[in-house]
Amino acid sequence: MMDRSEKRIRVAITGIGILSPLGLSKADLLAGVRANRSGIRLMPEWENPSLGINTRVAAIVSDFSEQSIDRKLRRTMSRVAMLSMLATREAIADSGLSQAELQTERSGISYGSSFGGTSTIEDYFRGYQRNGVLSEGVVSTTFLKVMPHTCAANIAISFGIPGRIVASCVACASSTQAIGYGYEAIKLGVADRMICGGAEELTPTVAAIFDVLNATSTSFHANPQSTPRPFDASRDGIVVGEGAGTFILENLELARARGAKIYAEVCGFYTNNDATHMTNPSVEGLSTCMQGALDDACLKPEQIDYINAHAAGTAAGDRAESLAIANIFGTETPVSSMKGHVGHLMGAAGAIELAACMGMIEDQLLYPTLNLQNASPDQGDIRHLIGQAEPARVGTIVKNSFAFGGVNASLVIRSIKDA
Amino acid sequence: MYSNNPEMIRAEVNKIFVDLFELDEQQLQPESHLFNDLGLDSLDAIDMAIRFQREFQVKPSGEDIKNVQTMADIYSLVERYMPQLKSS
Repeated sequence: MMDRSEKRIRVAITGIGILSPLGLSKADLLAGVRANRSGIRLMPEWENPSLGINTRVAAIVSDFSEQSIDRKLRRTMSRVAMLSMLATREAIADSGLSQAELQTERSGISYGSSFGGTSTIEDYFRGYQRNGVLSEGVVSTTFLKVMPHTCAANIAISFGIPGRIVASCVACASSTQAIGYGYEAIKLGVADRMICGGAEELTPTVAAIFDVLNATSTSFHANPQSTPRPFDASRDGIVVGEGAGTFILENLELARARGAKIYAEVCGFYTNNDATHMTNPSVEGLSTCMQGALDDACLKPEQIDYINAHAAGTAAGDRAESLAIANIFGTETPVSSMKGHVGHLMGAAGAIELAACMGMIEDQLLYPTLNLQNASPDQGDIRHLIGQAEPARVGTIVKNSFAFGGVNASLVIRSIKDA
Repeated sequence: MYSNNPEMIRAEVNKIFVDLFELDEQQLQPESHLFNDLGLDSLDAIDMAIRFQREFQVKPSGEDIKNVQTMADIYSLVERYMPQLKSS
């Protein structure tokens, strides 16, 4: 473990941009979470029997303007890249960074998603099915829309950012890992600022992928906003969704020198994988991940004020994470999940949930897990936040994200007052 | 499918340009340079060729595409391929 007195480059959060099922800005997200509102809606269009999907609930980003993106930029973007670009536009404006500051080799991008443009792939196969000609639906930009690093590359082109690109495409841990890799790049001194985050676009194919694994919520169609139910005894699976979350990370000294508004410090990160099973999470793997992030931050478990859980509302996932949290933190540290508010936003989940955490630091309030009423007895004994927001000292936060493939990622965030 | 009337071909080509590249029809003058005036680039040129192939069932050669500079060049290229086009 590094001693805190050792000189190391510190990393500040100076800009945030969000498109979520609760609205088209960070302010919309925070307003929704503060009001304990759900962004989940019914999907009548999924009633179509030809889709063969069981779930009818989703978390959609509504009414964003594709036309606000210049055609030449938009032509290489599927919906996922458009969402990422618009979130990044808000984050850059929020950071106050000038073009001159951004457009140097010292600025990079760390951005991910579970998939590239799934709607582009679906469109292509619809054309192939119709015509039976393999090349029929291919145009010059098809690959550019579906490639795994489509968000990162499109952000680079859109804002003229010439430094490194890291594409953290690790499903539901994509954006948390992206923020972690951005933090590491600055900490290592190879970049001064990193545009970090993740995005996802929702199509019927994505819903079907989780549906076939019996991982989607199907019991609450009559009352869509009562699901998902993380940690709750009556949970029945995830609500698939889409969105984008972008964080601007900067060398803390440089951010202070330019007089930037600083939301918080990223002070710890760890990522690992279970190496045991593709879909069944391992308590040991999750525990190691959280402990690794604490070690990187030079903090002890008792120094953490709050844990923002991945908890998506599946029995296996919630159980493993709560047991791992109990292992490392015991029964007193408050825990909640934002997925009751926004659903499971896949590659965007970690960044959007972390933005909600920034609201908690600002408000000095801990937001509860929406739809959690009775904690399931078959999981770890942890302190759940239920009902209304709870006044608290919110200075240090652990943020978890876990993904199929056994990928785990944890961040440690510290309020700048505690830094 | 398409008439070999030059006016109609020009109208069809313009329609494709408006749809594909989100241009105003008024911008599409015979002397308009594809790259300098209309802001197109190499990716657009590929998509233009693909679209012509699908709309007109003709495949201009790579050399033909390379020589195209203005809207007038496009109109004459399509006209040149007219014998391959079906009359309405």
